[in-house]
Amino acid sequence: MNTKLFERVEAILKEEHFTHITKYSSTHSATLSADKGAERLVLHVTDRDEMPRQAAANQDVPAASEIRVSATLAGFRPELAAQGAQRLGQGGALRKPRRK
Amino acid sequence: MPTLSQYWFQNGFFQGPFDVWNQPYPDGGWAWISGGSCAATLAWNRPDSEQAIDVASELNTPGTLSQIDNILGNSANRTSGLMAAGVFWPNVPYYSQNPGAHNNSDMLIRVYFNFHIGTPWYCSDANGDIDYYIFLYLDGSGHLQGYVDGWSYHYDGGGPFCTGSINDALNAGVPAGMSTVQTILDQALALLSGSTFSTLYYLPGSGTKAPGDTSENADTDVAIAVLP
Repeated sequence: MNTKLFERVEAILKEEHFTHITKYSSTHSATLSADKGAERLVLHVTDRDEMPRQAAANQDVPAASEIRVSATLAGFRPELAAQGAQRLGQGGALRKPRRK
Repeated sequence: MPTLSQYWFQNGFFQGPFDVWNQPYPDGGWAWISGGSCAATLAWNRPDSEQAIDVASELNTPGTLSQIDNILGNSANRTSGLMAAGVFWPNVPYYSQNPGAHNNSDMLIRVYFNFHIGTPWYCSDANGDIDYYIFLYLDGSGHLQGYVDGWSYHYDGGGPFCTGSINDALNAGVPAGMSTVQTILDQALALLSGSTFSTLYYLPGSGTKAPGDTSENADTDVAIAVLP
């Protein structure tokens, strides 16, 4: 982040008698806020959009060979069930070999 | 005595509010269940030897909640109890990162809770959920095992300028929390370490076998069922 810009703005704000000058920074952004009476000011710099969601798999999991039985409805296809327009059905025994 | 359970899901298969009717019947006998309008239905013939574990009930103990709260530290506040839901692998948020990690018909348990993060005056507060995905299985010896398969979070709010700092806090805390969740899981599975099983499946809701009609929500609870 461009901290020099913030330093210059902060100096100007002090000259202008702004108070409560507060700086927050994150990996991809920095924000400075201040106020003077009823006037409130925010300066925000960012180098990318931050999405309000993240997801990732655990990289440290057991080998597939250790898994004999998992919780499954063999043959079930969630994408077809989600369509909802057509009727689907399937039955089966529970004891199924695990893994492709 | 075995039980025939039929589940009627209002919103979709293994999702949201549902009704269940449990009909016990004698060994070698028959059972029928009538009625129910819904978006999807599931019928399950449940042997008398079935052990069903209500996940949400097991998780919402003071000790477990305290461990979960330590994951968040000072960065966020938990605003709900722990909830659990059965989800098919393609519906897990990180599925696209490695679709072949599981079979598409495999189910995982989504353990999640709601959170709130306060922000400075120029941003809206953030409210969302933190999720851990648990994969359970029977090993070669028939013991029930499990691991934390991954994590996710999602929130609304934090705009216009605070999503960066919110993400920094969550990106540090949520993945690190997998070890805490794994510890909780190991403690729970240790109670069954002396037993071996041949079959593992999930039931929506608490897994009740109480005869007759019950209404529950598949988005907030799931039961682990095992057969010897």
